[in-house]
Amino acid sequence: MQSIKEVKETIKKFWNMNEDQFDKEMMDYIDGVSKKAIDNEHFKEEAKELRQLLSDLKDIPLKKVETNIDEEFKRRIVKKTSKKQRSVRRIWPYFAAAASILIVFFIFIRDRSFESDYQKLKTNTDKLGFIYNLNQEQLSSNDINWLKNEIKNENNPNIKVTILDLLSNYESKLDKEFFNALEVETTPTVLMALLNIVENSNHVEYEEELLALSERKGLDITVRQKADEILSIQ
Amino acid sequence: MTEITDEILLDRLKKGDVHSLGVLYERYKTLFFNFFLRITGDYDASNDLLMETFDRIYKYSSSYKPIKKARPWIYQIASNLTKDYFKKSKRTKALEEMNLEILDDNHEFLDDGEYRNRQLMSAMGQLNARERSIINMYYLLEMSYEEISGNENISVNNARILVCRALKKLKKLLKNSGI
Amino acid sequence: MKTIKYILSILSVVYYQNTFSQIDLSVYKHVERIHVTSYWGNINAVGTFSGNEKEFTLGVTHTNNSNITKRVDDVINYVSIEEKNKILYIETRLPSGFESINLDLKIPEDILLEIKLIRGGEIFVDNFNNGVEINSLNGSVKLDRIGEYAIVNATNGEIVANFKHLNKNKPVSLITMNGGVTIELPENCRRELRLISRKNGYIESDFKIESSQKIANLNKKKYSKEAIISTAKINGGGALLFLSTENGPIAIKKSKI
Repeated sequence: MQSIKEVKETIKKFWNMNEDQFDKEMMDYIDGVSKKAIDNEHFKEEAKELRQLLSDLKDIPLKKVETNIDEEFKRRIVKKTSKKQRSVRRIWPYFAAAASILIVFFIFIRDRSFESDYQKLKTNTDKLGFIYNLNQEQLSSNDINWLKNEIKNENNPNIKVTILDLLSNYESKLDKEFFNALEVETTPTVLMALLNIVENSNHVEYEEELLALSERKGLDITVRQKADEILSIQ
Repeated sequence: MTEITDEILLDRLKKGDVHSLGVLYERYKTLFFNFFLRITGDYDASNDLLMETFDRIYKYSSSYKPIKKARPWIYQIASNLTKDYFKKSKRTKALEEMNLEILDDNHEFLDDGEYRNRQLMSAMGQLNARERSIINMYYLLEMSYEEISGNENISVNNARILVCRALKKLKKLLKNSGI
Repeated sequence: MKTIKYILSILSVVYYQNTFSQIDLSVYKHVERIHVTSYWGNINAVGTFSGNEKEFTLGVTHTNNSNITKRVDDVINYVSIEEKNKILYIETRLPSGFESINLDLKIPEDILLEIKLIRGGEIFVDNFNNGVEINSLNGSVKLDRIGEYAIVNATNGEIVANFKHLNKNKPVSLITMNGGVTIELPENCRRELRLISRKNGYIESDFKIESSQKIANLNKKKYSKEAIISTAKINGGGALLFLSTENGPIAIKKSKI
């Protein structure tokens, strides 16, 4: 039996706890992270109900994927495989001729992979410096593809802006897929860097992405104005 | 026989082995299909999203880094597709009608269990898109709070809080419908 | 006499309400990095001399929806503190309405400081030796007496950064959308500059700017409607100094430290 003092402490703790803290404690308890429930009837009741709810949700049986969908997937696999085989058959006659040139290439010029070097870097400063120094190099299509993906994968906005500054030199090699980044990016400075590239390119092709961006809820007003400005120049 | 891990399959796919994609499909198709169905409530859209998920896994396999865990990478692709779907369809509010056909073909239910499931799915449809996504990431895909926070671009703590709130809202909706 | 006592007691109550109640973080003094995440509110971080073990504290005040600011005693209800792998994570709770949570940090000066301010507030950082990384949305970012490097991303707010020393191999990147960028560097600093001011800007520099192209309005303090995008060097060049703003001027000054 709790002493009056202990009860008062529990009530005080519970009273002072805000909803966020309550929810956090609740999920910790439900997930088994915290073994001991807060000594409070409301908390215990809620935890019991939510646990039951989760159990019921997990019990809902999974619907099977229909066989026609499986067939569709198999067709896509076949298409992907034959695409690869066609491309191999296409280049085979030239392979022998190219092989000797490649051997010379690998003997006299060290194989460089910017991406593999970049993946070894740990700090944001190292990455920034590395990306910026690529302005001195001639980038291949593979390099550009890697950098395009890096914009989606990278968290740091300064690194993304540096990548975009670099890629602005390769506008002609940037395709519609690149501009899909407009749909997923949320940092305003990165969005502006993307829009600056769109502005200099044939942006008629990206009208859909620009419209979607302009209509995005909660978008920074400067970014929206820029998108609208580009859309109006058609 | 030890199952080949997702990491190995993705690594093989990255190197050009398209059949690894088939193995991943068999492994995840049911889970993803139900994930999409419970979020969109749309049967056809869910099939499309399922196909698109594996198209994207194939397309972006070159950017997969073998040192990273495969599952969060794959789940992020699926989760991003639901966001794209809602952006395009603009159906981010509660569904007018949750497609309850998803339960029709299961003959293993007892009547009261089937009724409970229908009510659960109906209540799920009354959550908004984000709530449905988060709740399904948590209980169906069993994503960690770190993974959910990465997908939703929120902190880990807020992921916990949002999961809790979605569950509480669902509970309330069920209570209001008499369950 | 009674009147004086009465006034003093009133003043002490006011002082008491508005000063920070400090919580001691010295148990975390072994960490190498601090990551602070906040939603709304000002962040004030001061680096303290490492030898002074008392100075590792966090103070919190709360401004409610009626714009009344009070110190917070039950800090744990406003801020979560967690350590993982020698990184200390300090995160404020999600705000409701227009409330803001203001943080006052005193941290040993050699710890790497990272700040993420998700919605808005002013950031002021003073005296950190091992670099700072900041991601902010609405509000200015002011850095004073920073060592090593800084990586700052702001959106609506100016960036002002003063460096007491720089690591010659580490880049500095200061990017904002609306607002000027002002940087103060040691006089012998050698840098390769990447300068971008897209609108309503000019470039001002105490250093001699070495560039193959002419920089419009250099040191003229005349706002340009055209974008100014330039690569240049100071003192022969070195690691990258990337300064970018969509709307505002860029000033590169010699530090008086």
